[in-house]
Amino acid sequence: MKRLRFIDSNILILASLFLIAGLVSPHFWTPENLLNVARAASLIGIIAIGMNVVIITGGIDLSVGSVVALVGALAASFTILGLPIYATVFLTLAVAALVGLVNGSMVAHLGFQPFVATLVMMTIVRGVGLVYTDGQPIYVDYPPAIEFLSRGELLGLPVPAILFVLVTLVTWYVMRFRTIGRQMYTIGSNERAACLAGVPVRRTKLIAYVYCSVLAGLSGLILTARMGSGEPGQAGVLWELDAIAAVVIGGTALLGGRGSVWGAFVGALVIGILSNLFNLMGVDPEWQNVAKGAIILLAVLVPVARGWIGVNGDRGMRHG
Amino acid sequence: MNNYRLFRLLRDNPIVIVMVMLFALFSVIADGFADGDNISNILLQSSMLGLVAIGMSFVILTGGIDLSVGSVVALSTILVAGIANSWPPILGINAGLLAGAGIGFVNGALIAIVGLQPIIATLATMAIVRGLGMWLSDSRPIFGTLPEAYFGLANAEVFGVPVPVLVFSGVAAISIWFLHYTRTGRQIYQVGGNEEAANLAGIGVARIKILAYTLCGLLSAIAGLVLTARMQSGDAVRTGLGWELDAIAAAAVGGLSLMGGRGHLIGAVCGVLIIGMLSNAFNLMGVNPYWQRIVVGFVLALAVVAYSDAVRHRITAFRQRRRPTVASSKPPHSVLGQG
Repeated sequence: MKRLRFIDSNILILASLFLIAGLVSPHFWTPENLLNVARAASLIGIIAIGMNVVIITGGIDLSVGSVVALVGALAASFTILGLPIYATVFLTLAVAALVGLVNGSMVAHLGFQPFVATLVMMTIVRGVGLVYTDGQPIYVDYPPAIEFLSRGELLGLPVPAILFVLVTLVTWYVMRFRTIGRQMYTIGSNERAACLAGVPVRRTKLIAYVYCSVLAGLSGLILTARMGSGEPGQAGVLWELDAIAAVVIGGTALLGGRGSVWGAFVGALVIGILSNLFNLMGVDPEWQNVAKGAIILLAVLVPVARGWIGVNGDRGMRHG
Repeated sequence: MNNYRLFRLLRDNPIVIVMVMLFALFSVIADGFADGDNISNILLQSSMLGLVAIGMSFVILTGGIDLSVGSVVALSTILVAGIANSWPPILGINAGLLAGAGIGFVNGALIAIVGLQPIIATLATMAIVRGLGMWLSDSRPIFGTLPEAYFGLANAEVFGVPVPVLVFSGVAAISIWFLHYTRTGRQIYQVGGNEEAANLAGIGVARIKILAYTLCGLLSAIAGLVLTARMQSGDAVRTGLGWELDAIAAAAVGGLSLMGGRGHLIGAVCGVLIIGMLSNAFNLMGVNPYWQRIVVGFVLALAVVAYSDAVRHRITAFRQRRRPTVASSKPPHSVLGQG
């Protein structure tokens, strides 16, 4: 059965969606369009990978959208100040890591509920970005190295998509084969048991939140490079819910301890493919909302329905 | 209300004292803050989010969460303004209320009967309802369909009190009574406190949860009706954006535990008023309005710390040292958060 498990439902969903999309719209399969899909899906996708890690530990991170906005504003203003590129990238990602550190310590050390702790940081970080820029967008000409993050191509593939795949691969490897990844699953499924088994619960949770925040920062850098501006008020609004939606569509349970990294990868792609398809078909944006909601419902209802008819699937039950 | 009950209310809801202190502080440092007009303005501004926050509180008390409230607000503004185009507005009002309650019912059924997690189920309805509203209105604001009389819902005053404030305080009073003095209200606390125990005690858990979500949808729809009167138009794209998280923040500031079963509705009301006072006072003092978010974030964090068990027990211990007779006859642990 090993061979069958490899072809899991995530890949099936993706493949069937590809087929249907191609049949519905002939433009879908053109290489430029596929690259567009990859480019568009990678922004939310990178965040969804980080969100997936936090959710596997049994938490949630609502502050990612605000981190995207703050990182964009900081990167724009640092570039205007004339900081070298590596300093800009390092400093903005360090700020993102700091937000994650505060999130993580509120959850792990102060015992806040993850939802509340990251709601606090979502409000504060958005406010910091707005105060720092006085609420105005910062327009900037990025040096080629930063523009490369969003517009560049390697071997004909867009850089954001390469980053997305790279992040997914690394996260998958760590979550599946490294001690810390396995510990995150343990904490998510039973925190007390993990603690008694000697897992450093606090440190591991902290790392999960920092990782999620840094990935949100990376996505923020790509976004600001694409727009050529830092938008403290507009960027990343409600992205946290999009990222959670991608995770949920991928079959990860919000209860923690379950779910695969590839699920979040596929979830982000599903959202990306659908919105691309709707654009190609000229469907009004309002239906995209409806479709997104319907797909979230479908993704969570299918396992429930399987339980009703007595078929156990592998979705949501996987640990790596 | 005797002495002990007042003490218990204030101990369990320090946010009331915080609100009074903030009010006193702003009255001193912000010119014109304590004027009658300004106070009624603050209340008016807070009343719409307040209605949503009360609805959210019902859901949070059962241990759930409702992310779809902002979309329900938007949908109800569209229904009222859109239907008034060709039919009498009373039809639109009823349609808005019915839609709100109906969406709440669906949320509740998805969570209590199908067994979905509240965040996921309401995230889905949030997207779907927002999309429906945009589809109904073609993503354009609807102007000029409502009669002048309808705007009275936002502008009119009764004995000098704006109508939205009356609606808000009326709903708040009835809700507090409902939660504390009716059987169903107590059952909401029981379901949130320990669902399995509530089930074993013979409470219809699914029924209670569905009721809470339905009330939440209904109150969000009422907030949408008031908002329509205030904007004098309906808009599905921009209204109610982010209200779900604002309402949750207000409830959490007020000490409602997101785990359910704990907290007093008066806390949520005070949470909304504090957020309203902050933005108003910052306006008056000419502070950069964006500081407001940072301050609200810190207030939220402080509130969580203040409502934590460690702090609560310390206060109780302090009182027990001073008044051993009262404290020993009424052990505070059995009534935590339900005073």
